[in-house]
Amino acid sequence: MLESNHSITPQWMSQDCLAWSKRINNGFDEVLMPIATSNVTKYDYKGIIKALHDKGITGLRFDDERDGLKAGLPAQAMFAEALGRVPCGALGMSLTIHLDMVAPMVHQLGNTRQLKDILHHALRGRFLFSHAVTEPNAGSDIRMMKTTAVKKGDEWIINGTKKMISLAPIADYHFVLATVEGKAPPFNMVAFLIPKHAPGVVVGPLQRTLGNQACPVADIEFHNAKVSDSLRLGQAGMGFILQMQQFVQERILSSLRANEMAKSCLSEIIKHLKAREVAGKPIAQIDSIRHRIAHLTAELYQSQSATYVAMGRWINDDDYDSLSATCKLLSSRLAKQVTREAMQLGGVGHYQNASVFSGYFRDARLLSISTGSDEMMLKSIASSEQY
Amino acid sequence: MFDLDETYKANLDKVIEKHRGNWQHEQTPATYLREFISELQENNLLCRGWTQPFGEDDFNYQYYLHYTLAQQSTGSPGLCVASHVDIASMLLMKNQSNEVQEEYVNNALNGQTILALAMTEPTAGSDLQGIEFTAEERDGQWCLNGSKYGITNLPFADAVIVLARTKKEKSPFSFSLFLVPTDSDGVEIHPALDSMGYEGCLGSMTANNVLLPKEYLLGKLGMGLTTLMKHLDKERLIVCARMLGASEYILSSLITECQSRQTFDDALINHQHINFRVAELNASVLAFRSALELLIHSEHRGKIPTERAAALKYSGAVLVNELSDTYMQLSGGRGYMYGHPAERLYREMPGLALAGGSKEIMLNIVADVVCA
Ligand SMILES: Cc1cc2nc3c(=O)[nH]c(=O)nc-3n(C[C@H](O)[C@H](O)[C@H](O)COP(=O)(O)OP(=O)(O)OC[C@H]3O[C@@H](n4cnc5c(N)ncnc54)[C@H](O)[C@@H]3O)c2cc1C
Ligand SMILES: Cc1cc2nc3c(=O)[nH]c(=O)nc-3n(C[C@H](O)[C@H](O)[C@H](O)COP(=O)(O)OP(=O)(O)OC[C@H]3O[C@@H](n4cnc5c(N)ncnc54)[C@H](O)[C@@H]3O)c2cc1C
Repeated sequence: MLESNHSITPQWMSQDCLAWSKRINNGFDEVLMPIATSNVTKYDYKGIIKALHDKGITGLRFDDERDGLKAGLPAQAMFAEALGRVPCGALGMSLTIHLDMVAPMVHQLGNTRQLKDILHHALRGRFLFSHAVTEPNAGSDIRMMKTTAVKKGDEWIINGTKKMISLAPIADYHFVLATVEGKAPPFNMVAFLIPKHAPGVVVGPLQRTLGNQACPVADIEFHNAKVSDSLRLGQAGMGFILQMQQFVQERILSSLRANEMAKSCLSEIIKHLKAREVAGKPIAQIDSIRHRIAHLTAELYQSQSATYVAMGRWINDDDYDSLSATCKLLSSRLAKQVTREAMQLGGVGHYQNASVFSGYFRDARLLSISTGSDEMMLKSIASSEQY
Repeated sequence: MFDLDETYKANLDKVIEKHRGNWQHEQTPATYLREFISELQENNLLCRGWTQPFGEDDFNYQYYLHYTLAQQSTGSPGLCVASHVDIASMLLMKNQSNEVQEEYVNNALNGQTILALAMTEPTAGSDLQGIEFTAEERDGQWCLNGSKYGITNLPFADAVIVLARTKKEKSPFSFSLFLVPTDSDGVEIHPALDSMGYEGCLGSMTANNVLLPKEYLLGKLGMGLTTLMKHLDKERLIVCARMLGASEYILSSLITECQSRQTFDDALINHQHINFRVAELNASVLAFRSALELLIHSEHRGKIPTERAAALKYSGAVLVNELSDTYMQLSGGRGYMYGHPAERLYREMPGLALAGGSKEIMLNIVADVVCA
């Protein structure tokens, strides 16, 4: 029997993976847990990434000589789950963007120089990435993207606006998707890593958000921004395709994180309901409440199961398109539902910004909107099943 | 519903229009509430629905007032005015028995005195029989001790009606209501709570050997809970009127949002998935409106059936939260940003599932009647 704290054990769990899990949890206990609460408004992300690197737990999935730990995808899954248990959505979101959205793209597409000069340092917390795709008129419908990249000699001239970009105010490099002329969609996009100080890059004012407040969000404008061709990632024209492939994978990691967030919130509220009494009896002993908790637990098992199976297919290089969208949909809805119930059952004492449940409630709401909204997941399931 | 004369509605709009700037940016009501209330009263808009001599005996005016205030760009003025007028002042007016209390009613109605009603405590909310705030007779006076928490208007109230335990015995007749001026010796009003919604509206207090003359007992000794229970049916309908206002406001904002946003070569509202989702919510809003209309009709004939008021308050709490959730969802990332109405409503609506009796307690009340 494998020892684990999972009530559902994934098929791909192994002793090796558990060992990684232990190392990750220990690292998190030292680096993240002491500083994480949903009321923090600022973190030193680069310092955090450096500390995690020193614990030997960044870049888990990469297998190259210089930066990879060769721990593989199962360990990366453990990392995503551990992020979900950190009681602060902003930390989970920010570290995911840096380590699990942008870093893998750089790793996959980057040339030797980019790996050496950028990724190597990013994994050590010397650079922070943002991931800039959304535009004023292109959110769900990325094909409507209007940002353009025009090649002039050894440079590209970028024009356009990216909207609601996490980490934009503090990132050193913005991962940016832009369109190129003369190519038909979907083969008309190109990706860049644009340095924050590149001429013509303007980051807008910080925007306050419902939750995740320590993950700063702003718009980024490009006014004839000049970017060297050496900062192009991958082939011009393939940007959209690569992004879409990466999204399918990132959604599974996002689901692992969301499930753990739901699970942590659920166990917190159970603790509260056991301690709080009405009419001389703990609220947790009232039948209707017990059933609600049981219902949420059943939903959690469903979501976790779909997620673990999706992760297994990814590990084995099987087809996971529909399952990835399925687990993203279920886990986002689950986190939203559990945190809402916890808010309600916490009563007026937890209808306060400082409450852990209010934090969960506000943070979790983003999951159904960003990196593929619930509706886009439905669309994706329908299109991958081809009915 | 709400077939009130048009000049009344126009006057209300005018007064609201004049004060709207005050709450546009979620300022604390401490800065504007008094003035707003006195202006409502000057225009005969505050308690026109009350019985004579205060009003004209048509409670529709009150429902319309709260319905309208719930459609503002923040929930605070609606919450505070409702708590002040139809929850605290009304309770005082119905139970007043001496000149001191009568004067408080008059001052409350002209906006000189802001009132709150405090039942909830740090350790007891749903279960009012579990409260620990005490009042004891001492040399012909009342001596009050205890704390209250999560109370609307308390941070800036001039007086608060407090539910206190007047007997040790475990019995529904061990509780009484007191009118407590907040500047009494021994009363400490804490700074406003940092609540998720309704900034600056909720507060807490402690009472440490607060001595009050006899005149400050409100209603009969030992009848506090009974008096409140009767009053709460009414309070629930007020909350329902507020929820209807919020529902219609959210529904129409949501429709506008979906009409103006284009994705996949068409306006969002034209995508059938969304079109049907909006229609479904629209149906729920119409059903809720109908139920409230019939319940108000019953009230005019003399009785609010407790289980129907509770059931409606439950349905309303579910509805407003479903609406605000969908509004945020269909507004995409924009709805998650501070300043967008969906963001505010997502924080405020959960409050309506607790205030005035939680969703769960409403279900208990319904079940107690229908399963008896
Ligand atoms: C806090 C925060 C951080 C963010 N960080 C980033 C970031 O780092 N990088 C980045 O690129 N973006 C980021 N975003 C943007 C996010 O990715 C978008 O909000 C998301 O993709 C949805 O796009 P939209 O907001 O334009 O919604 P829209 O595309 O306008 O859609 C609005 C709603 O309608 C639904 N919808 C759209 N079309 C249809 C249809 N045909 N049928 C049914 N439903 C439909 C959508 O699912 C959505 O719920 C962030 C957003 C937020 C709120
Ligand atoms: C915006 C707002 C304004 C408010 N204004 C006032 C005010 O002006 N005056 C005032 O006195 N109070 C006010 N309250 C407090 C409100 O009345 C309480 O929140 C409510 O009564 C619930 O009590 P509690 O918060 O202590 O929750 P608890 O009693 O701790 O209950 C916790 C959860 O358990 C549920 N629960 C409790 N008992 C049962 C049961 N038997 N069966 C099933 N579920 C149960 C509850 O519904 C709740 O969800 C306000 C609250 C809010 C949010």
